Amino acid sequence: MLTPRVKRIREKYFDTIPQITSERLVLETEAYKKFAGDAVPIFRAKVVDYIMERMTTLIMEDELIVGTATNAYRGANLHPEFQSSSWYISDIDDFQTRPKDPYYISPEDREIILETLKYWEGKSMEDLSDSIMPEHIKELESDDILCVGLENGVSGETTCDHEKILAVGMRGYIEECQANIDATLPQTREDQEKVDFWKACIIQAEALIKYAHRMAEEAERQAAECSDEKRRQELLTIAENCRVVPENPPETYMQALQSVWFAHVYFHIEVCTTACGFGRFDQYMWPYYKKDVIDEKNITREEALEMTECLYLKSCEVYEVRDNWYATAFAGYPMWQTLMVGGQTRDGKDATNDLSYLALEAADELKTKQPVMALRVWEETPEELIRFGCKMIQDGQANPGFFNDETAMQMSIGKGGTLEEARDWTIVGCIQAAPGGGCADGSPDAGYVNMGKMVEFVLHNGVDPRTGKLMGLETGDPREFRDIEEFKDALKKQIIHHYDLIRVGYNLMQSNHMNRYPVIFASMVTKGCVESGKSVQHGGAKYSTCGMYVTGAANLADCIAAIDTCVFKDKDLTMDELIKACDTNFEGQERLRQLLLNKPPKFGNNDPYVDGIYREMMHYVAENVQSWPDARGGHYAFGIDSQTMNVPHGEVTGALPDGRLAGEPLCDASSPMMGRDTEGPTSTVKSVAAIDQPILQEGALFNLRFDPKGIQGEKGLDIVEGVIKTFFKDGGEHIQINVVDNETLMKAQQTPENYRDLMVRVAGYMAYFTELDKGAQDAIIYRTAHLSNAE
Amino acid sequence: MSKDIADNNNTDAAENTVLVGSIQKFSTEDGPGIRTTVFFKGCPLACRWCHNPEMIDPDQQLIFTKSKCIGCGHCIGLCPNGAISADPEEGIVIDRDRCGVCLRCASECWAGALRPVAREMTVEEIIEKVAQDKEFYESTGGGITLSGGEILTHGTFIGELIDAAAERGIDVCLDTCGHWDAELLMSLAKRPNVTDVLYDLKSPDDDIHKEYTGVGNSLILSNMKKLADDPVTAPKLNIRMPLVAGVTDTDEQIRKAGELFADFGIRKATLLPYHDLGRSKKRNIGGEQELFEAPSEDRIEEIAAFLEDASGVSIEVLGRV
Repeated sequence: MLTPRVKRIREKYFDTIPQITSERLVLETEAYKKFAGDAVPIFRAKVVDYIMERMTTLIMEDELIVGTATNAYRGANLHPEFQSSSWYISDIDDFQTRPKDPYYISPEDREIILETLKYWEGKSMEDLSDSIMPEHIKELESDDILCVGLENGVSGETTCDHEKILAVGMRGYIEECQANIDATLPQTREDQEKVDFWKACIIQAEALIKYAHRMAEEAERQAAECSDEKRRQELLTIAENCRVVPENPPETYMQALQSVWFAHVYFHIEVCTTACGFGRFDQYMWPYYKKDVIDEKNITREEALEMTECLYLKSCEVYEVRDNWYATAFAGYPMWQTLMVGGQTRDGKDATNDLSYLALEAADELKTKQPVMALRVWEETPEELIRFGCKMIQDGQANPGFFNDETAMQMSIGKGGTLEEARDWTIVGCIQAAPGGGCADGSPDAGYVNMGKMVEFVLHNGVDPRTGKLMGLETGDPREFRDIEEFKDALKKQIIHHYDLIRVGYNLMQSNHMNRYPVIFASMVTKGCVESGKSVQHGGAKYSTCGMYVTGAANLADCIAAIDTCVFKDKDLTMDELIKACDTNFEGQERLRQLLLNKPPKFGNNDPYVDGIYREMMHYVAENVQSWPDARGGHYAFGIDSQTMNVPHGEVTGALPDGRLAGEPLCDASSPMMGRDTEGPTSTVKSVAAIDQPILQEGALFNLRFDPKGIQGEKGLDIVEGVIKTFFKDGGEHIQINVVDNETLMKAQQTPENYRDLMVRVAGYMAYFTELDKGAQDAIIYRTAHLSNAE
Repeated sequence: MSKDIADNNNTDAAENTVLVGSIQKFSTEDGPGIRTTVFFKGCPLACRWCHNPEMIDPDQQLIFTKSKCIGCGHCIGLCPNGAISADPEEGIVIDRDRCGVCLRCASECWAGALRPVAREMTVEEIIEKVAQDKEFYESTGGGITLSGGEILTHGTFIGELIDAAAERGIDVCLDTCGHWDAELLMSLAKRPNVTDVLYDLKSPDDDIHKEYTGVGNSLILSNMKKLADDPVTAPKLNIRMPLVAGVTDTDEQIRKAGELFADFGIRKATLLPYHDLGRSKKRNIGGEQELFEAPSEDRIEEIAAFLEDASGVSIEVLGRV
């Protein structure tokens, strides 16, 4: 049960609208003017140091874990160097009124922001990418045919080495960097770059220590003024904690939590990062928990639970401001801060401990969308732990997501990890498995290709029917294709061509991030960077990969099956008739559309024919993409994931041969197209598992929704567990289950205030349903509800 | 056994295919675990509240789903008997007296608004389909459920299907009204891979049974007793009682049911409150089904508590919409 303190913080969280503030922007701008001229890593570190020395130290009522990314509760920072000055300015009033992910901005801050942004005109990453990105790629992006990452953001997605931070503290890192500097007298550019990087690390590690000490002073100040003795003591404990961590190893569980939070909040102050995962929380926190709660009994389990919940509530406070397009593509303020429990140890034993349960209990009690819980399952995971997760699903929390160790380990080994690192795998991003221990950088968003447009390009010999422009490859007149193999070959060429364009664009962005925006702190705490003297952006992490993704994978398979069945095999219509029907959005041809919808098999119904097409196409992409090097010596990895980009990518896609009408969303991630998995969830699960997922190094994100009626009671738990286990036995990597009914969702659309804790997973992250815009809400409602009752 | 039942049984032995209404995966209220339910066409009863009215007639039928109809009118010209006409309200109207169930219309209805109620399937075809979910059965203690219509009208075929399931290591649950030959029923229920027998008791009162289902309950009760008395089948037996307000939920009926359960030593029973989802299906095959009501939630609870007290039976309530 939530303590009164946690209840109050939680209420405050729900009652506060996220807010953009100007403080960091102003400090950064001052620092940019002051320190320009230093070597880039040192310059960047000094800017961050300048901010950390001056930013408001905010300790709020009831808090036990402290540290904020801005000077306001639920505040968001602007990072013009990574993002933009132009859309910050043009959207400044839109931020407050837009339907997706709005932010409040006070009139005073609004003025300061507009004034300060003048300095940034022409200096942002967006300005740079706009001037160097090849025109053709830019055009493909603005037409929503593909998108390229890093143009308008940072290569965040840090899952750091918390174990080491806790073991040696910032002081340990500083000593290590200093020893490296002392041992190096640069004789080459490479040597000098290493020394500059280590110096930058030291500046930033010291900056965080200084910030922690300032927080300690603030806690002491508040304590001096506090009349409530209990709170006064808490403030003094907070002060003591901030003087110990992150500089030194923690002595208590509470200090360990504080150390974890300092690292996380720092990621978000330095850059506009997302998807900084907490990694294997129940493993690296276990020694501190065990000492305080079990061995020495310094605190009770309930106290540890409350502290943990305070950390979770802190993770709800961080944001990345996105432009209108990305606010649609990644709707619901997602931050993808995954927190993992369960699985196995590096030597292959079951890793579950009491903290695994406590970490889940905290999420179960809070029902907040951050952190996103990830439950690792393998053959020795205790029944009780899985059951606990299943109960949360049954309760409609859509949390945790379940992950299959076996498949995730194969993916991690594919990324270069050893067996030990694979057993210790962590999520880097939202569902992407990577070698564990904070040694992998995923920089996951290299880009997405819209499969709907690929089909349109093949049907129109490279021309986009929406604009009439020749945008794709000229793969020939499809009317002359003799069989489906020719059609598939054309599609494969078209698809790989566009992934290759992403590669070109992303390598260009990576190269520029390397030279301008090394991310110092996140690099320092990622294994491999201090050792090699290189930032993550330079390929310093022990393992580096970049993810390429896909929207509309099921639509692609369904389109191929429809053309094969209705054009080539059964000759229900000619290719020419099909193209014309799609071009006119099936106007006056509803009967033909029904044929295309109902006659050919659709992905998601355990039909080996169409499931085989899906697998063939996705493997073809994976095998190509995964052989390509990135700009920093890593390689590209492929995964089936769309976030909510299936909505904007669907908007620009005309009617398709699978019977989908123009403008409708494409399918969600690796799930079947909405409403087409009519054989029920067991068939959906079998189809998605049949993708042969271990080959996909970035995994396959699978959302499955049950009607709550179908999984009631103890038997319902058996069913949820049975579905998960069967999916994993068949090689599925990840499954997340929503248990909501359409009626509830529609009510939530009408009276959102009554449903503000209604949570749904939208593609790999969780969002509050009522915070999504109507388009995304409708897509969820129409996703097949798998009713379970007998006829 | 009446003559028509015996005749039916004989013809059954020769058939290689039977009419299957649907194969429904992820059925969670038709026995333990995750199940696939196979619905067979044809039933000796004609319950007035039947929720699968399209499964009563042993012959093929044409079913029309208005919500799927796009109003293209293609079917009108296809009908050799001129049985289909356009209708501004309903999309199309079928004159059931003229319809010869040739199904030409359904074969070209791409929207799936017109379709046959069932399709002919062999044992092998059914097994292939249901075996797709075998892993789910294994992980949840599930299996397949054979339902209808009435499975006993296809006795030989059902026997072969149960044996085919046994070869694949799949457990079977039988769902039957029990109004059939006792020997056949017992021989099916005794098979080792038949784990559950869901056995309907529409009403413990012979007159009411006759009035609402078209047949009396004496054969059903004597078969129930056989199942309850046999040590092999007794633990498999689960009595399913539809609860229809004012018909099967009266104090008198429930008291009788309790006595019966105690007398037969019944251990498990399931209450199925009435729902009206069958009415739209009845309309779709051309007809009207009268509207009944479900007892109130309080009444259902009361009945469950009474039966548990009176007979020591363990009660589950399922089928709420």
